[in-house]
Amino acid sequence: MSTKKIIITDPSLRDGSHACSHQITEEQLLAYAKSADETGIDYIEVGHGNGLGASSLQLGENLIEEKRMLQLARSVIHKSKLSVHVMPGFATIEREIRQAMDIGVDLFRVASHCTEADITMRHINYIRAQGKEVWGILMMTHLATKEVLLEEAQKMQSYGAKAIVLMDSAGAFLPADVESKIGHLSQHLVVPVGFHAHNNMGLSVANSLTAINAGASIVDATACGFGAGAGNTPIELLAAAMFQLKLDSNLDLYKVLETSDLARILFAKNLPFSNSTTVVSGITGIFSGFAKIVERVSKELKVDPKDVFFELGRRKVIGGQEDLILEVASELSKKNN
Amino acid sequence: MQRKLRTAIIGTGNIGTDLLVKITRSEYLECVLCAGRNLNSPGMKKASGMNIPVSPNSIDAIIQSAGDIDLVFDATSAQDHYTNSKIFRELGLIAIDLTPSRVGKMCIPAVNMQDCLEEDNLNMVTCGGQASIPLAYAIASVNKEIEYIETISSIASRSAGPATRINLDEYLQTTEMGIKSFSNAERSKAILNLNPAVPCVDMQTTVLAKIANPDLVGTKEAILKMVAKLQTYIPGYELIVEPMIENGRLAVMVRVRGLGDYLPSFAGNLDIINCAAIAAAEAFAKKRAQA
Amino acid sequence: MPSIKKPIDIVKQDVLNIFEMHSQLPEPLRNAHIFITGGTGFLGSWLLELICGLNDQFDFKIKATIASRSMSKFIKSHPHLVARKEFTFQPNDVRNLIELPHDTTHIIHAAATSSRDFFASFPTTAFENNVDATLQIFRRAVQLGSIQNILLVSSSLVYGKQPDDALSIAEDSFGGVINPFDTNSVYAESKRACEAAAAAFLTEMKLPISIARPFSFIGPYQSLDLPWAITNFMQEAFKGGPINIMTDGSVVRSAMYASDFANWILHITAYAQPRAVYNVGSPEPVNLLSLAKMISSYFKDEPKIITSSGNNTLGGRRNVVPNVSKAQKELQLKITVNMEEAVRRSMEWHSTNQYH
Repeated sequence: MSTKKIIITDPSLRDGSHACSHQITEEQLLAYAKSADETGIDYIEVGHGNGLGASSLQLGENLIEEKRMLQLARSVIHKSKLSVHVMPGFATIEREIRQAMDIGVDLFRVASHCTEADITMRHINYIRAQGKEVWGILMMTHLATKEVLLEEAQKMQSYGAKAIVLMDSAGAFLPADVESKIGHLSQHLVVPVGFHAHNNMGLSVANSLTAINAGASIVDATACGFGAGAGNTPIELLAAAMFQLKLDSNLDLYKVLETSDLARILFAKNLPFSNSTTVVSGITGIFSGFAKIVERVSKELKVDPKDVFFELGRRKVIGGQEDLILEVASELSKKNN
Repeated sequence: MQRKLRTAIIGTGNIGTDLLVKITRSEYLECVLCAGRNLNSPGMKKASGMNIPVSPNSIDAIIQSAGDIDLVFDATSAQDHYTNSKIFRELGLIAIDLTPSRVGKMCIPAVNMQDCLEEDNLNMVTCGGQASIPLAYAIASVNKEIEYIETISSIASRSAGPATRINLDEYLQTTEMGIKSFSNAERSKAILNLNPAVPCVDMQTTVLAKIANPDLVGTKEAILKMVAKLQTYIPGYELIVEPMIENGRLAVMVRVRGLGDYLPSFAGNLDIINCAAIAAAEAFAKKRAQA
Repeated sequence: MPSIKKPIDIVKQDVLNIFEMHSQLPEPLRNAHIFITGGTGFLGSWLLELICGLNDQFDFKIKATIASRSMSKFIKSHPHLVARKEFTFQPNDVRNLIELPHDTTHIIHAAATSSRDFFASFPTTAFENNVDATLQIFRRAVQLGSIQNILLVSSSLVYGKQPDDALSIAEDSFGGVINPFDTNSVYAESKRACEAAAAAFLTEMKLPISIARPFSFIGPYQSLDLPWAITNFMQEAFKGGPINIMTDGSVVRSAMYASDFANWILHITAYAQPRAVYNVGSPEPVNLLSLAKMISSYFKDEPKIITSSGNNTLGGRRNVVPNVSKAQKELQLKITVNMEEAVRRSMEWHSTNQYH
């Protein structure tokens, strides 16, 4: 494996927001951020599951207001850098991005669906012009070929993104997919490439290691996998594997393990696990953030969540279309009656 | 018989060209000029083929023919409309603005057409606004004190041209402002998704609201009435989820298919704003006929 | 060998053969509405013949709209195709079309000014014809709601000059740089510009475009006036010879038979994913001397063959044989007519059509 230093981004306080229907409390946020700040994690990402400006009835409203959330995080994060997720279509420059800058966010990860990078142009341009660090994120990357992903990544690179992260937002990747897509981008991009896994098929750690092997130098991982659906790459497992493989990073293994133990207590009620729903979600390629909403709506309308996932998969829904869950479920419930 | 209202189109891209097809079908409107920049564009060629006068001199062509024009559809860009709108006013032309400039009064024909007839510049808000605001208005007509209202639209990636992609923030701001002011909600939010699925998805719009004690029966009645009214000028507008309470929020959902005049039929988002613009222009024509 | 067959019977037999020998049919084209540019050319005529076959034998219900600038000639040469109900002919330059039929599901853009002599004398017109028409087709396709695939028929010349020791050319063989100031480059450069336009419309407009890069062909409906080695040989042979090989005979080319060509194009139209690029041609190499012999052996009085020693390249290229394993593997495409059979059938058609 390579000898370069691997950058670790920890979106527990962002992707984990999905896992608890965006109900992260002030106490949880402060305690986790403080502890993570000591581990050598390079970036800690905070916010609503879908990023800035995404607190909504469609996706679920934040318990803590976005501004307050970022201020709290900023007050305890000193060694790591503070990151936010930005999806044009939810977040605007005027409102959310400016506010986050005023609070002192260090890194903006501007994201789009994997084929729609051009909607990030203005946001990336703006952030870069303000002298802040900005990355480009492509989501749901199981839905595009490596050639398309490279094109879209090159667009973001041309706007000024300093790194490109591919998200397996649905947990649908097999190791060979990671190798081919991350490998292709690493070969052809000037900027570093990163990978963000979901664990629907139990492959998050294996896929993250495959990504590193294929040329990725940035990996997303969360404490105990605290994230949407079946969760992300558990940072304690990744750190252990990287330790064994002698992969270089800024992580302090003991402190990562301690932080994970803390997270296991802090987020005990909402830690992700595998069940039939998350497996079906993975094989139908549905955005992991849908899981909680599908569960809730299915229960309410008395339909099988697996049926809902298959129908959503047939309709090729993408992140941000959570409102369609309601339509699909009510259609299924009409059919059942 | 009264002569038709003489309209001109400035901006002969896809929106302008589709408008042209709709104008020529109208009993109340005729198109006397298509002004743009590129005589070789498909829109210009289409207009020429229909024997509509065309000019590559854009706003100057409007100025030159102002005496023969009653109303101008502006399908250029927000930037251009800031300049154009001043000229239209000086020339005494009614302007129907299809850009997100927000210069004129926001017009949703099914909701506030009567209040718009004295204006000389109408802004057609956004596609999501034309789809969601009537629903928000119907909800507000039955439920007092809406704490929060939100609208989410999903459109086919292929229906979002370069201008839409670059102006997402303006779309969100304008739609939010529209849905808030027409529903008197305390807060509002707009969300837009571009879906690249093949075959292309139809435009779908959801309205969600937080209301203390919602009147579901009354809301349903008001929504059904509003949808029927909208269907008179947007034939592809369809209610797909009737008002329901789910997880403490009021939800209603519609789908908009386009007419496929010039734009593809999956581009319901582009069709709806054109249908609304035609309805507004026809309202002016009818008002003049009565005068 | 004079034949009692009519030329159309040879074509009809070819159409029957291809569906029998090629186990797979282009299923996604059932009920398709295909818009074909250049539909009255060599490839176009064969596409129409095969579409008739699919409709008649397998009830495919394909509709086609054909844009062509040379309708009057076509009406005389192909009355049986002009009479078909499923075909609508638009005797118009594609650049004058304002809209494509709204229900178009597939486009095969095969119109191109490709004749080398025209390019040599009128490069500006030729360049403009090719590039402008392609841009206009893509621009109009943006308005189509049910478009599934747009096939750009490009050219093998986009690869440029290849190393002398390269035995075949694959889809990524972009080693050869094209000198834009070479008289012969205009066609290649215009096709490269068309491919660049395809890439632009793919990424910005999300149009589903795929590309075919044809090599060399032989068969009925091909004009022997074209200044290519194979057509020259045949024309010289029909005139009684001699067949002039401008090289020492070791130069290697290949030629795909017309029905295979059209069948491959239909399959690529049916099955290709957006962005996919496929070589189309025969992978069976033949040196020009053997090719000339195949042609001369068709006659009782075999015409003489003259080679010119010392020259082992043609047009600066020694081997021009496509590697078509991508199309064979991904789309299960097959060659059903080998070189020798292709020559025999072509000779038979030409002898019944033009010279007897």
